Amino acid sequence: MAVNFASKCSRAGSSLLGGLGNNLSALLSTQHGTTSYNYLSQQVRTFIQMRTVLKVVDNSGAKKVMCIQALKGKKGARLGDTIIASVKEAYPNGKVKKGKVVYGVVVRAAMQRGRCDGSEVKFDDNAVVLVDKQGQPIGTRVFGPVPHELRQKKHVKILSLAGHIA
Amino acid sequence: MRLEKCWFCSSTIYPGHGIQFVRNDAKIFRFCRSKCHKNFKMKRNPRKVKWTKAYRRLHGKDMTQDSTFEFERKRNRPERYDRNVTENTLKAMKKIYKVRAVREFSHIVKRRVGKKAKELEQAKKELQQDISLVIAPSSHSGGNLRRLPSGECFLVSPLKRSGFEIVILHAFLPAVGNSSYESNTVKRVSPFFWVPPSREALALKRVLNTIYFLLFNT
Repeated sequence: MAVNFASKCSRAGSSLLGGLGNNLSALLSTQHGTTSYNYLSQQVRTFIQMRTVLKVVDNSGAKKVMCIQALKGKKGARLGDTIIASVKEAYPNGKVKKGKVVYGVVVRAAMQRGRCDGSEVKFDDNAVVLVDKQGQPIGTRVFGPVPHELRQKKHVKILSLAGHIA
Repeated sequence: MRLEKCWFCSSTIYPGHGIQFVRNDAKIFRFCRSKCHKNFKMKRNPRKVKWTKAYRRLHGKDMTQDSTFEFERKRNRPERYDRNVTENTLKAMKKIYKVRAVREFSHIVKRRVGKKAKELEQAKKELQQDISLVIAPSSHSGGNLRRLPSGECFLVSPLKRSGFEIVILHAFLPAVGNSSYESNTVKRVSPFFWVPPSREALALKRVLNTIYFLLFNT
């Protein structure tokens, strides 16, 4: 009996004081808990569309290209899609000169892309590998990681040139 | 299909779940859910976030070294399918999980040894220091209303148990000018009403907590 009473009382007591404690903490947190994480919110990554500037990650001679047309999709290109771009910056003596219109395969995109199993993949930056109209890469090397989805897009050559496949 | 571990919380990622982020140096960060992904984007260190496995391992909360963990290994060569091996593996898995659960439990029990004694020690010290804040109803003639120097009022009600006469905090009331005991009882203010964040009230709350603790833990 005594044990029963004790356990009951302890429960009631702890809830009583616990309730007080909760109220107190709520009171304090409302005073200075509102301004959090605003400065940490990131830019929303979106499609590769007209005027998107992409890094060129092969040795074709171009440094940066600007998308002028996505060949697929209404909103824009995503990871693995082909785009038409104009070369904005280029190395001297490269195969590709500044101002040329080129085709490119998006090998890295900051916007996430669904995978066949339902999970998603995203990369650090937007990067492109220049190809000709038939889809053969212009350069002979590919830098950085590329997704394995390129195999489904019939870009096996890029995959074999790449050092890392993610 | 491979079951990967979440980079942030170390839970298992089942196929079709989560997101993976590939850094430019080709390091892959896999996340089991958006919660972990967001925490990563906020540049939080999983070793400093309390709910992650990394934190719990680092702080000795979970069992880290055990032979049952040895079975879970990353193999890069696919096993040739064998019906008997698969069957035995499935049987062994159950057993291993059982053994692990038993060992985890004993680990937690071992971890908590001495905690109670430490708490009791602290509570006794606390009581000695702040017992002056609590008044016994016998010494306080008539009304049960107690007023703190800062103006907050609270009700006290006695509880008799095993020879002790102890005052239990009943309710904190906001400071009301000229409020009598009667009017407050009529209002029947809930005990979870409001805590005035004054030093006396907090100290009193602490000491009453201590009394509860000593009453029901010795």
